[in-house]
Amino acid sequence: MVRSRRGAALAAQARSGPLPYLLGVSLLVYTVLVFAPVGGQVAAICGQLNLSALWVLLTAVPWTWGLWPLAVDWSLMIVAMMTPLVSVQVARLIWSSRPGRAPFAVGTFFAAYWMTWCAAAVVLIPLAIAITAVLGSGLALWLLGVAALAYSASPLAGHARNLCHRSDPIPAFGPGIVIESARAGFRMGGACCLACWPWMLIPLAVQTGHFLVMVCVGLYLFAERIAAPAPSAWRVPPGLETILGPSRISARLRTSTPADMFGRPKI
Amino acid sequence: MAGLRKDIASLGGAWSSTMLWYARAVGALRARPFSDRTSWVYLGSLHGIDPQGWINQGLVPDPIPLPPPDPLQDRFQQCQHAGWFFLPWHRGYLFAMEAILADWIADQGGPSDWALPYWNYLDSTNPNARDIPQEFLDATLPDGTPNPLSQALRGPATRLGPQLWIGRDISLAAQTAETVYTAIPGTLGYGGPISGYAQFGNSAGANEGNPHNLVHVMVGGDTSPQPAGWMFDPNFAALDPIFWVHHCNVDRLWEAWMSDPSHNMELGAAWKNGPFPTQFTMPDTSGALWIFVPEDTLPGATLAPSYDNLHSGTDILPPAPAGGGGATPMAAAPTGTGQQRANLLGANSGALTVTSAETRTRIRMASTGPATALGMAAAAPAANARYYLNIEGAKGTAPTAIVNVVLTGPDGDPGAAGAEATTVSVALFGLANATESSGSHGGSGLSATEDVTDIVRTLQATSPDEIEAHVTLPETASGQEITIERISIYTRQDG
Repeated sequence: MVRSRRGAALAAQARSGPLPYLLGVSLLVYTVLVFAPVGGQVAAICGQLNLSALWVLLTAVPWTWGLWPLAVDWSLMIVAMMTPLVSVQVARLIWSSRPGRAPFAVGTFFAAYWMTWCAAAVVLIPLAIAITAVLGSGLALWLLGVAALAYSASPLAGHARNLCHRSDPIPAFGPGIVIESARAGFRMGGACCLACWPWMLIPLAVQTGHFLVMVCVGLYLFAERIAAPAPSAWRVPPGLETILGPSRISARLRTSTPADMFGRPKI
Repeated sequence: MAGLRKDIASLGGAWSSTMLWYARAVGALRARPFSDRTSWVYLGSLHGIDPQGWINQGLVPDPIPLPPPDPLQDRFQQCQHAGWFFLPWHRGYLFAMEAILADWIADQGGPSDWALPYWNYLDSTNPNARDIPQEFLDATLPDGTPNPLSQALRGPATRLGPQLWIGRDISLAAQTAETVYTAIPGTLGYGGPISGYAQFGNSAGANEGNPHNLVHVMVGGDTSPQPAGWMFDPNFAALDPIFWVHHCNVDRLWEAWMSDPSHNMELGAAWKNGPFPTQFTMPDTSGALWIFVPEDTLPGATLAPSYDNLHSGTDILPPAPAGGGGATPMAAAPTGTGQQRANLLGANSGALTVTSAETRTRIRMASTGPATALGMAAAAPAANARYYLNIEGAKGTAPTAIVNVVLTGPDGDPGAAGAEATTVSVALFGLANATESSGSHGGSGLSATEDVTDIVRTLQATSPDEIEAHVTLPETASGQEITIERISIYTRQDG
């Protein structure tokens, strides 16, 4: 008796809570990125580089191109790719707020979450530029893909994903609503950065097909995010299990020590 | 097709054929190794497992021998609590265990229609209903051999009811007080709030909170600092044979609740199709794994059970004559949350650390909350509003914790005469599992919701602005502590 109905379960889940609205925001921003002049700025820079130009670029980028197109491009990428990933937190903020105050809590949460990712860009964008310049766009794409999958399989990524599943309380009254919502946004943003950072390098490394790769990475990260918490151990990347289903992946690839499988460390 | 599930008390005295075969079958499954998916220990681990604890108690060898890989993947620690999948998951779990037990019994020449019996502990017509059935207490079977049904670690109580460390009784209040399956967050529903795949989600529904959780802790007993009784700890609970007759009754209560045409069972796609991507996985009689979804557990579907009686000890009286063993007619309205509206009415200001010594905290109520730039004060709740106390984000290292909350006006005396009427005791079943962040849990802790409508109405008559909560753990939990992120009160209006 196998009655999985995975497609129906996924469709029903996608219609639950705030997720349909967050997916709508994501789709809208993806569309903006396709048509807006700032879309793909970071990838364009990466695609124009080679090793000899790297030093010049790293010292000259802020002055020759200006920072704002990069910042806008990165910000929109974050909104498009990450917004659906915080659905559970947004739902929690809404129902644990007093009537009328949920918009302040949710807005503050998103602002803090977005700022965390912007801070991460200070490291991630130069890193993407350097990797692409050294390896070339094509090789960088493949190597970054393999590295991101390997990272997703690691205990560190598992720990970060588990942090993403944690919820944060907010007060019912007073300025604590803003303070605690911001704290929740920064905490969630930090956990997301730790869980997703190698994946965010991939679309940056591709100029041709940049938007397609960005959408694919966004979908993969969503697949990882909706996977249930799991022991922090080496495992098949959960996004692959979500997409392919357990029967498509050999059970032999999975962790096989009792402590890992049972989800409790041996004391 | 499984046989008809019957009340243990109706089987004609101790050691009926049904119970004798149950005991023998439990013994046979206990003899099978963990690597056999039809073994008692493997099936128990689907509910929960503490590997080192099991090794320490000699339940499994070290290292634990794992079953051969299966494409559908073993899902240990799979039990669904504190969410709306609690009832359907446990129904599928009962189905799997019952099929494996019945298969062995039939192979041994026993009845071909054997079915799990149920412990009808809330049957008001039976003065002995709350007593642990004798078959689970006797050291030996009638033939003098060791009795597998009594081989379990339990607390000292042999009868369900209030005890020194838990001042609350089991009841059937959930059967009639909650007419809607799905709870709006912060309030109670019969089956619990929307949840994903989570061994311990956010908050329990009315059935799960009482009687399910309370029977677990009353049978398991708070035996600290000694190892907890198995029923007290979800990582051991399913190893106790009494777990299955308890859950059979919990399942029957759900079946009876669904048969009331005034009740709104959840029939939405998100519930019927189950969680995604992780799904519910059980072994069959050959040890092969299969997947089920909650819709398979509804009346008339593949995993639906048959009970001899849906009236006795359920507080449900279906209007139509019920034929024993037939499919239960189900309330047809696909309105899992009905026409209810709910919102947060008040909360305390910060996290608490709770021990056996009293901790006080003020719950500021919205009736006088300032209408600041951050939002408007709520409209006054209607006269028919219900109020719910929420203990949010409780974390601790005990497998289960009892939390006692006395609600008074500001600076009230929790020991004053009549204070016991304002005492709320909740069982946080699976607290340690829900606290753990390094394993298959998010580490968000557990929440509990209790209907405190009468208490809040009384208190608001004299102190509408603030309510004081006096929070303690039982004396038996001396040395233990838990943290609670927030204590809040929600209000719900029906219709």
